Amino acid sequence: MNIRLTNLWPAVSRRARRGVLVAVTGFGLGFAAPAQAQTDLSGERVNMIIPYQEGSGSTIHGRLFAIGLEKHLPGQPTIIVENIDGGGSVRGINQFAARANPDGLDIAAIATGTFFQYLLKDPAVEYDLPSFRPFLASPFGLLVYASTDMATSDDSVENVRQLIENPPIYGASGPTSSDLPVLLSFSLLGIKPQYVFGLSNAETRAGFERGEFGLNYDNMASWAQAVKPLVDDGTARPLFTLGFEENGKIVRDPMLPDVPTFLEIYEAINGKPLEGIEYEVWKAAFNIRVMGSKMLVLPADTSDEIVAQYADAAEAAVEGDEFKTEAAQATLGEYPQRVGADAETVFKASLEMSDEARAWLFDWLESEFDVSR
Amino acid sequence: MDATIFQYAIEALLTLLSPTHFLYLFMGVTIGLTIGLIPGLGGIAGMAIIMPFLFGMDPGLALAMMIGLSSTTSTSDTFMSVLVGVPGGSSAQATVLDGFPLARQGMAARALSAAFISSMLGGIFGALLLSIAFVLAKPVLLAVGFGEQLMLVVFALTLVGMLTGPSMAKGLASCCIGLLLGTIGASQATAEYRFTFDTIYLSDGIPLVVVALGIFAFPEIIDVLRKHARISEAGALGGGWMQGIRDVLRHWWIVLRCSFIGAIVGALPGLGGSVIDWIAYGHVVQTSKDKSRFGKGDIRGVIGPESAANAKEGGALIPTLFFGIPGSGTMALLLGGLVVIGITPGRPMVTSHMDLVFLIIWSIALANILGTAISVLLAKPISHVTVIPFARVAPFLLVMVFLSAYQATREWGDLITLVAIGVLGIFMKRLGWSRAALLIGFVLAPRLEAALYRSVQIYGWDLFLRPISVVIMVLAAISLIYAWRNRAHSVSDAERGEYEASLGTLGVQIGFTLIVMAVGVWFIATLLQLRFLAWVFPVSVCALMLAFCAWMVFGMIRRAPWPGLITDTEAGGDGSTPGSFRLLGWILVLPALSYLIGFIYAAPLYVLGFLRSKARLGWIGALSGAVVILLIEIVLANVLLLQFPEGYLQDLLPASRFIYRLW
Repeated sequence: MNIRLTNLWPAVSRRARRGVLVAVTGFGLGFAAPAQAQTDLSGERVNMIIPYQEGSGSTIHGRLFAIGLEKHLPGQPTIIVENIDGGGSVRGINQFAARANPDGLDIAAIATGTFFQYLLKDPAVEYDLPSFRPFLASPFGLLVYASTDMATSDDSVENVRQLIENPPIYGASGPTSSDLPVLLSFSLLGIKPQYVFGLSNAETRAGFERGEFGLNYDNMASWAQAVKPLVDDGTARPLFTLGFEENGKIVRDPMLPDVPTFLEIYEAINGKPLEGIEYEVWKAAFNIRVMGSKMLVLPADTSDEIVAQYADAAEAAVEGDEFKTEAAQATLGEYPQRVGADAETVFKASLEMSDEARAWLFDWLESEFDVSR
Repeated sequence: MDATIFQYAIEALLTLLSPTHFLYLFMGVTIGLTIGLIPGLGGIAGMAIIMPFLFGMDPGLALAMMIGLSSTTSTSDTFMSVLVGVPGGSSAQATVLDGFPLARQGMAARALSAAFISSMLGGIFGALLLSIAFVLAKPVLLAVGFGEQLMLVVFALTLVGMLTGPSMAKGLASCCIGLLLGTIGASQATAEYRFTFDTIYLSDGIPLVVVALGIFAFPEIIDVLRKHARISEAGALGGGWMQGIRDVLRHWWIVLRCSFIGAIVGALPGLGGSVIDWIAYGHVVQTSKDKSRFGKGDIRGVIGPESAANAKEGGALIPTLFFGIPGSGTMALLLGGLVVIGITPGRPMVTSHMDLVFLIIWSIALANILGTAISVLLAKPISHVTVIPFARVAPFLLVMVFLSAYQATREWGDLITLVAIGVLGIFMKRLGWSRAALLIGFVLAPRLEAALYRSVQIYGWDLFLRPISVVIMVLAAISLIYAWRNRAHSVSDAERGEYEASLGTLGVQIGFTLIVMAVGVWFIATLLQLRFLAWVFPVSVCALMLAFCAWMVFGMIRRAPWPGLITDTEAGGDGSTPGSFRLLGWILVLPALSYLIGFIYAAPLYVLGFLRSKARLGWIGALSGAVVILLIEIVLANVLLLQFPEGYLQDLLPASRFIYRLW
């Protein structure tokens, strides 16, 4: 049985726990500290804002990193996770932008919604997203699957043709939510589902299991637990993934190498690859949804030194023992974690959207969903 | 096969009874009970607190702790509901209706022990159901689609007929107000904002805690203060806890039926935990021959909802564990917790983690027993709060109400909305509008609208061809007819005096109804600028509300002696009791002071001032009250990591940051 000392007395203060932890792990901590000038965070409380509900994917991800960062940041500060839910992450991030100080004692988790609300110029947005300083980006693939009643073939291309022919009913959260990339993909392929909006992930999956929806998608974090059983018992059939970017090219998702990507399907159906403005918009959505799925950031004007400290700690955490557990693996999937400059690259790519692409996206939202700004 | 299941069950029980497991379960129970005591903090807050400790923990221990916690928050939330008339949590809303009147009659201990014992029995029933669920659950859950969910919500709404109070039109209009409050925020179908006044606070809707506290707490606190009384009008505790146990045994059939309702509704999608106690309450009223005592202190009105409240935890675990689909907010967190400790809920759970399934089942049962034992032991001493002069209790209670409301979203919006809803509640109580109907409307609004929209999108008219839908629909119709046939149609002789006295303030009563109507018209005007799917539901509700109100105004002008129509509980007073609004001023000092110097300073000062000038305590007593509040704040800030509303001048008082950092 594996009982860690730190868990025996949850009611005991965090600092006392840390003391025990330091005593137990002893020398092991030394390697995390790079030999540069740095701010010592010992005895400090770092506030981590997670703009989604307790229990959400972002919270599990954020909490995992909170544990890792607590251990590997210089001075082993205590990290307090605060969930400020609302407005598709806008409320929490607005608060972060307004109140966080660039002293390394405030960090935030951002996710797909944070980007879309910003890029689509949601009037509630009060944060300047590009000024944030990212230090970690965790990618997550997406799998689109259909019910075996709607998609009867073993061939994904054939199945997509069937869905174009017989539009399924499809439940989603909303056109400007984190579902946007998948809705865009359907639209580009020519699948025109009958949409039912306002549903959470859990509700759409339940509706799918009951046979009320013919089409659904899930983050790969849910694959083993929720989607694979449906595929195994013959309820669901994978259609395509959004793919994964490696060295500037979009390849098949490393967790599902047998399933074709959206781009492959598009080419097979249309006889030519997706290109031009449509590719540009789709790629921007892909960058946000897959490559920059979950990120951790420091506020604007944080010094390079502090950002580097956090990046180093995140890297040490990813390589540390605590991230080797089954739970951690299930939280992060098999995807490579990007820290420091790599995270910055992903962040910048996610924010890149030309005015032309944005205009196209607005037109698309208006003509398909009657959403106007 | 059977033998192996049995074996798993025994092994799991032995594991749970080992010292470490038991210790963790006990810790979970303790945290759950403590958190449940604070109104507005429930299983969700508790889970959030223990989440950081779960990473890397042994799954069995973590499970024992999580289940211990989530099973007991709805046990202890009863304390607040019964003793002070403030809903202690979403599963103890209905308990207020009869529990608090019992406390006022000096039978707090009886009401509490009846509540605890019935919630324990309910909890054990839920665990039992869970243990047979993995054979039966799947076909049942797969049969309840969006169409059936809609019918369930409609069915729940017809139970409002039972809770409308003497005047049906008033009750239904109250329900419409609740439904409208519940549509505030982004529309499900179009994501357009309704009545948010461009505030981000309202864009996600008003939190349930804020509505429940405002609508119940304010009017009740003011009511007791007005009469300068103790909560227990009898002045003594009376009716010990044995009586409560006897009550439960006498009404075992209610316990069984309501446990069943709780567990089933908890397992089914679409209704959610915060409606369950209302459904149970409605059911008890509906099936009782003598309805005259309900709302005035009928012990059955406590037993029913409390049995359902704890049974729902076991029920809600069924979809959570076997499908990976959370049945409630707490369950969503539990799901997150399970993932964290490396257990993947869903179908594999039954085949590969049978031991854990039984560990969970036993944990629920044991947690309920432990939680009840502790609560029953505490019932008698805590009940003493009802015999202390209320002016000494009120300031602490108010601090708690404001602090709890603020935990909903941690914005000033929480407090502003609390006050607004509170003022509405004061009028509704005074003029005999059903606050329970408002709350049930509020809870059901988003579910009703969503289920309506989804069913129409997915099924269209086919909805009425689905057998289960039709069955539920017929049940709803029967329940409605039943409600209608069972009510009086004219003022009884006993109510004559009140009717006559109330005629004196007819202007106020008509005025309030007209204000409600004006707001309805204004809502319609603003709504029509949105897209069809965003306005169709709230506009229909507004139209209904206007119709009910118009009918009432018609009756009031004719001075019709319809039951409950012309009612003013403050009319005909001899002028010796202060009016509600002077006392409202006393309440508002707390948020006003907090806005200036921050809650953390305002609360002790407020308690000091209140105890000195209103409760007329000496300096020593008042000061020690203030110190107690300060100590509580420090504990809450550091152990539960609660936050306090910040004030305008707070930054000038540096010590406030220090209070957060004591640990």
